[in-house]
Amino acid sequence: MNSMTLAWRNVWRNSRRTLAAVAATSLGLWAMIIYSGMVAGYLDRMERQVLDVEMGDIQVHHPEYLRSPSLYHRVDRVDEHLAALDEAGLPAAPRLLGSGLGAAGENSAGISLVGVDPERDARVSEVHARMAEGQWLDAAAPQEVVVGRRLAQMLGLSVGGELLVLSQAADGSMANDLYAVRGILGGVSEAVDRGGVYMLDQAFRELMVVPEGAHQLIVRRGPERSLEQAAARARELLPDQDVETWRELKPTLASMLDSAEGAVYMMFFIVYAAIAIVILNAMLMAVFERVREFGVLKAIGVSPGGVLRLIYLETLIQTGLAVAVGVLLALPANLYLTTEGLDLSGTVEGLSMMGSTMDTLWISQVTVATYVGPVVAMVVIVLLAVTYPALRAAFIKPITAMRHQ
Amino acid sequence: MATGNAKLATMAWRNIWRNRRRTLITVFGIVFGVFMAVLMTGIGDSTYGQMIDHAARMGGGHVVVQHPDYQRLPTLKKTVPDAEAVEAAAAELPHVEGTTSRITGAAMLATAKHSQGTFFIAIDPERESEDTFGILEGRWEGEPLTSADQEHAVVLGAVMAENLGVKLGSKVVYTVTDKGGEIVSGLVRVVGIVTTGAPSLDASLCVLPIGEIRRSLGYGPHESTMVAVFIDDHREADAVSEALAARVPEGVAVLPWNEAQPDLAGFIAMKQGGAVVFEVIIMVLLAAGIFNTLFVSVMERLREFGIMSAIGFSQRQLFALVMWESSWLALVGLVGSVVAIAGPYIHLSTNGFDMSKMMGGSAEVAGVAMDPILYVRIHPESALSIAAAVVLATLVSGLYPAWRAGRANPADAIRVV
Amino acid sequence: MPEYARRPFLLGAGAALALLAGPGWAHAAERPAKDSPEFPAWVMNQIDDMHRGDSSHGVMSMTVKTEHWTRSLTMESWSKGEDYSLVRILAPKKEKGTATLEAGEDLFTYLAKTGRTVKVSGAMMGSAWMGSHFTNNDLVKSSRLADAYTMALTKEGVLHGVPQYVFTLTAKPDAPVVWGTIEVTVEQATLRPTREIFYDEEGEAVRAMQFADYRTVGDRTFAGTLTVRPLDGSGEYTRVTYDSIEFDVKLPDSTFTVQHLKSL
Repeated sequence: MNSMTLAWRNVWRNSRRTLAAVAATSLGLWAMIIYSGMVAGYLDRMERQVLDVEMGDIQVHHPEYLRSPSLYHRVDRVDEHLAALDEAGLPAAPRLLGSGLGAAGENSAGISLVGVDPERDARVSEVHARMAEGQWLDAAAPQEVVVGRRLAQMLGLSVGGELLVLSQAADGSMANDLYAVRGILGGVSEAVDRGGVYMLDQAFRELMVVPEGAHQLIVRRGPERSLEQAAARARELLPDQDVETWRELKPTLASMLDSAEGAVYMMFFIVYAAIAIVILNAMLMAVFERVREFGVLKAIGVSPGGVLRLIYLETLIQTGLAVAVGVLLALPANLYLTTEGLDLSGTVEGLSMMGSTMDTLWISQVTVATYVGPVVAMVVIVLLAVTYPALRAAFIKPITAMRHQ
Repeated sequence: MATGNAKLATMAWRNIWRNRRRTLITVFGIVFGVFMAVLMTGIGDSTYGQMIDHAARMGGGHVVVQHPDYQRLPTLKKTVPDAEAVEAAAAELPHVEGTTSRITGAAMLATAKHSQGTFFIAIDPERESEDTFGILEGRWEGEPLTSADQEHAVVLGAVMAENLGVKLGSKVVYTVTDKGGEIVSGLVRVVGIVTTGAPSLDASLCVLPIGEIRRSLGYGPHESTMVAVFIDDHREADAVSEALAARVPEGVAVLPWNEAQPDLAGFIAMKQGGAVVFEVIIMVLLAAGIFNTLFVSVMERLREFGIMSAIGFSQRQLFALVMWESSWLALVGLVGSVVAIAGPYIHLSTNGFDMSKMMGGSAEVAGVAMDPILYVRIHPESALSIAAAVVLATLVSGLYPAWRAGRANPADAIRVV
Repeated sequence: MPEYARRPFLLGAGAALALLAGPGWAHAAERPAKDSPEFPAWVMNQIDDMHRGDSSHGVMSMTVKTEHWTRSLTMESWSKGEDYSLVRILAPKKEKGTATLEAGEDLFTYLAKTGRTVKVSGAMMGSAWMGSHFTNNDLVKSSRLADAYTMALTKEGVLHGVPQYVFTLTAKPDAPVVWGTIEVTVEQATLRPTREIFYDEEGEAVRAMQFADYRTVGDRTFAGTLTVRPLDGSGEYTRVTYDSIEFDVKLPDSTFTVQHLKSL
């Protein structure tokens, strides 16, 4: 008789036992797939929170700027540089940076001015999508600004309110102007929340008398390059500027995210281990319960190898079923998690970690790998788990077996 | 034959040990699951508790009493006029370990060559300790403040001192806006420089004796901007806050730490949410494993159950029998967990494990520095809820097999599997 | 620290507010002998008085040179007693109308372009006044030098061919001033200040103020040019020169209000 046929019939001979084992295995697989997606979503989200909203992957400054931030330390030939970066497939946008005093009514506070080109900025940053109230900047409204949420609270500003900006322009004169608040941001980062005022680059240039140059270029690495590759390319293109990756600029944040990643993988591993134990349990019982049967097989002349093969085939069939069920059940769950996600904290609008604001909605990130990884791991675990009992069964003495139970 | 519950229980006990290997494997699974859950919860409980206590010490205690509008927009005009009365009221409440009054506000610090704006904290050093004022635990140059009426003394964070270009003994002039809106200056000398490890603190810390500040600001002798209340168990914060709110004079707001520091509260909520997800997964897996065990066990004993049914066991009794088996498994599992985990737990709760290599020093969350040593300390309630979850998971997974056992009938006894 | 505060210099000596309280000086009281212990205090009081006229009205030019730019402003100023002063920019056109108003302890900045007035808060006191090397604090600080410093005549010498007294003012232990000592050099004959050098507590010279072009209008003598220079080798300075001035002008209190400012 063909091993495969025998295996198949064996599997269905005790359908309930098979179903129990399949249920356990597929549940385990389901959990692994779901968790894998959530983990990927978590890690990706953490990095993106920081990078997408404020930092970008790479930042370019005048060589003196980071050591001594000043209105006068600017990246020149900005258009040229932007064109070169565009061509190399590295999305980039310029930013003008300054500081001053913001006043509204009786209150005043220190502010950080950021002049952006909205069209270009949208290519490198998600900040425009972080509005809590009102709208993002519009090139047609140069006298309107967007402010951070805590700044708005401190100055008592709401959308449509008036903000007086006072500073010292690049030519020494007292820069001052009135702006209407066009929008208020949700959580972005501590710094922006407390004092960020975003305006059109043209408005900044006029206010601060900075006709040319930019203080910062925000660059993304694009879909095809790793961070290191993108940085290397950017350095080639802009040899006389200071080019740094986000990891170099914020090493503590980088190490925190890395350790978070480490912690998450450790948990992942623990979950897999837990699942492996469940499977082991099921496999052990599946084999040991049938010791008599295997004894009979050996007694009628089936070789140890034959018994082994039989067990493996049965296991593969069961696992195949489990994979099918697990994957099928995981699909709708993942659909939910990637669109709705899990809201972990209810009411909080966002909180800060190492100065950056995190979102509390947990959304999964699912790709083919999310499925392939756990399936492969599951198959490996199962085959490993069944090996010990299978070997025992293969070498059992028929007499012992038949006397069993 | 009516067999009492006790007999069923005993029978169930013997049943599970008939197949030692299977039972042990299942028990091992339970122990593993419990261990994981205890680990995660213990780390969480202790870390969050630590963070909250830490934040309490750096900020306004577990429960803070301040002017109702102070949270939204802190200025030196918004005060608690009779802080001493508030402290006295708080001291009477259960769980309260200590209270202190403080003044916090914006000041400009200046030296001959530099100046910097910051928020100062004015304290009464004799009433503060490491439990109430976490900064005292940092690395020190010079000394902390000694008394509320100490004259001309200030303690600065290390980065602030560097920015101002000062060292021990240098003079610093502070400028504040007093209660009447007037601008007032005073002279202080640096008596201590502290490194706390939290970068934002080191760059902004300025601690002054409260007596001097009260005079500069024109405050009354018992006036301050906040009263910080410290309690022995941070989970009582809401209760204490409510009790205190009933006893303080009008015109003063009482906030538990989660309202005073919503960023921290949100972070902890998020982490706890993550931990809950993880624990649910563990429990589900546990249930799956136990179900498998019980189910197989029942299935292969169908003959036996058939015979039992034939000799008079009722459906209900067979059901109960298997449920007892399930319960015994849970119990043995729990006992085994306690035995297995006790040792490692004691070690981890006293020594913890040192994460500082992984984290590269200390980290800062919501403006609060985090200790790189992780302890595993679980609150009794959390331990109980894990035990309850395990028992529940085990019992639930036993339901179907037990039902199936109940449905066994004499016909099964004749069948040869 | 806002960038425009650059290198803030706080709590300057009374001489700084000279410009705004309105200079003017008439000889008064008995002059003690130079060896007597009262001599230094007497001289400092004379100097303080020199800068506290009853009222004044004038036009001045201010030039500020920094590493990145040089700027000149023409300003009109009014002052009454110690507590009221108004300084308004006349040129350049971009900033015409912007003004600083000191009324008692409060300082306001009026911005002509936006028509808004900002009250200068404690935190803003250290920042630059009108973009110069003076700070807002320099304008408002009205304590007499004698209150904050002990004084001694420490040297006599010759500067620009003119014999000078050099007084060393040492900050009193409790005085809320950032300086360790101030060295005040005055002409022996006329007691007109020539220069002041400000030292931190370690004895490092941090900034210098120079007085020149003394002129007389009516019975008042004042320094026509005042230069403030940070002594960090940067070459930066702020120079204020009086173009015209008159004293004892009738100025109603209402001159020193924001409403009046806006009507100009």
